Amino acid sequence: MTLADVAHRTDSLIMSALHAVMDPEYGTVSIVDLGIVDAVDETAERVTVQLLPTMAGCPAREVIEHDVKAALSRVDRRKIDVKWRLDGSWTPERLSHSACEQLGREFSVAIRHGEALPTCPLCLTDALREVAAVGPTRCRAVAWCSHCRNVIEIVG
Amino acid sequence: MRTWNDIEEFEAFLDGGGLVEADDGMPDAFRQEVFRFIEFHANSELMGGLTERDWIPHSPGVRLKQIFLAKTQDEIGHAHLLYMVAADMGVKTREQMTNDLLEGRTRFHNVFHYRAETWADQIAIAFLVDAAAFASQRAVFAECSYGPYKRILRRIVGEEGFHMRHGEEMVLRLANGSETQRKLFQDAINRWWWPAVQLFGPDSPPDDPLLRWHIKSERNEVLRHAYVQKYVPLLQGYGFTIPDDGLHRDPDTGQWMMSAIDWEPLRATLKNDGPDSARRLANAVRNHFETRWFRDAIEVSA
Repeated sequence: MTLADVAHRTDSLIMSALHAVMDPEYGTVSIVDLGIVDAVDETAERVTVQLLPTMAGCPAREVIEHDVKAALSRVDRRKIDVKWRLDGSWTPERLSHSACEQLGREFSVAIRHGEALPTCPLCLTDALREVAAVGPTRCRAVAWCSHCRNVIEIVG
Repeated sequence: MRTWNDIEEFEAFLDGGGLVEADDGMPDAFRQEVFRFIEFHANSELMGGLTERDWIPHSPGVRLKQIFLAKTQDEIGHAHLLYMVAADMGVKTREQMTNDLLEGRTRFHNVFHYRAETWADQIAIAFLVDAAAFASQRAVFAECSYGPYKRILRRIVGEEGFHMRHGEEMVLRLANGSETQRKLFQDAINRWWWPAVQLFGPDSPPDDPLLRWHIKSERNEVLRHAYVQKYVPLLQGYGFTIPDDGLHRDPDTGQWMMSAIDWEPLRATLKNDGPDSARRLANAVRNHFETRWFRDAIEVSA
């Protein structure tokens, strides 16, 4: 079941609770907008949330799992299960439009689709140069914008 | 590029919430002050990351090893971002900053001049020291009139906030552990409480340019006091004691008041003359030498 289906079929309380779970590092961006929530399955006894990390080795998994369970237990009395899909299939296409916009504006993080370097999210020129394949986290590369002279990180 | 006719006009711009950009014609004194601040921050992230790296092999269990790997990557990555912004200011090159650090001519946070003796020390650092560093960085981010620094601080503060949750998780494990574990952690608190409190620095001078130019938002003593109000009851709540005989609650305000702080240990660390300064610097020099092949390889492939 895709997330679009999920939004229609699951209890809106569950979806709004998941929307309120923020990424531990981007504290103002929801895990739903980051495309980390992959599917929600419900039975009479339990709610199973399937999550897809941006990278299989993501060190934030335990914290996210804890926050999801805590958020859902507040709105649902069934047993809450969290399962991680570790096939590495997260791509930047899973980011919502608002997440892309927010990552650029608030965090100076650009999104790369395909091979080419993205435009600078701050000055909107094509002046980014990749400096390092990984930065403070393994899911982001480090780039320098020679036009506005800011350090940009790149997802994807 | 914007220019200002004089310092009054520049200060009025800052007072109005203005953000200085890299190509603005900022007054030289401002440039120097911001540069010095970022260089100190970068040095501290690097020295902190190297220490955490040393503990990766000693982490008890895969989960904690993963946490320490991620933290080390964060700190070294933060240093990288900060050195890029600092080097762009045109005061010193990256190489000059590295040499000045390794040859003991520049400073880094006091807490990285002490030795972590046991695994519990690393947890005390994650819980107490990271929280102090986080509070202090957050207070810089709240104002931070230099745009390129403010933008990387947004990400750094987010990541440090995440470290604090790890610190809390690890403290809970020890607090609920055996008598031996609790004793280990109490000993670590005894070693790290004062360095953590001193990380905020002595009271800010009345005419502190860092405050006047909105590089940071709050006075050192205000941040330190707020930190003590939060961490004294937290540690006591877990059943640990604070190594301060004079610690008491003010009967009128209900605020936690500490004994007078002996600033001599802090002054020693600022001269790279703390208890573990020499070993830490030697360690950083060795690391720099051992990783040279990697930097060379990157340069060749670029």
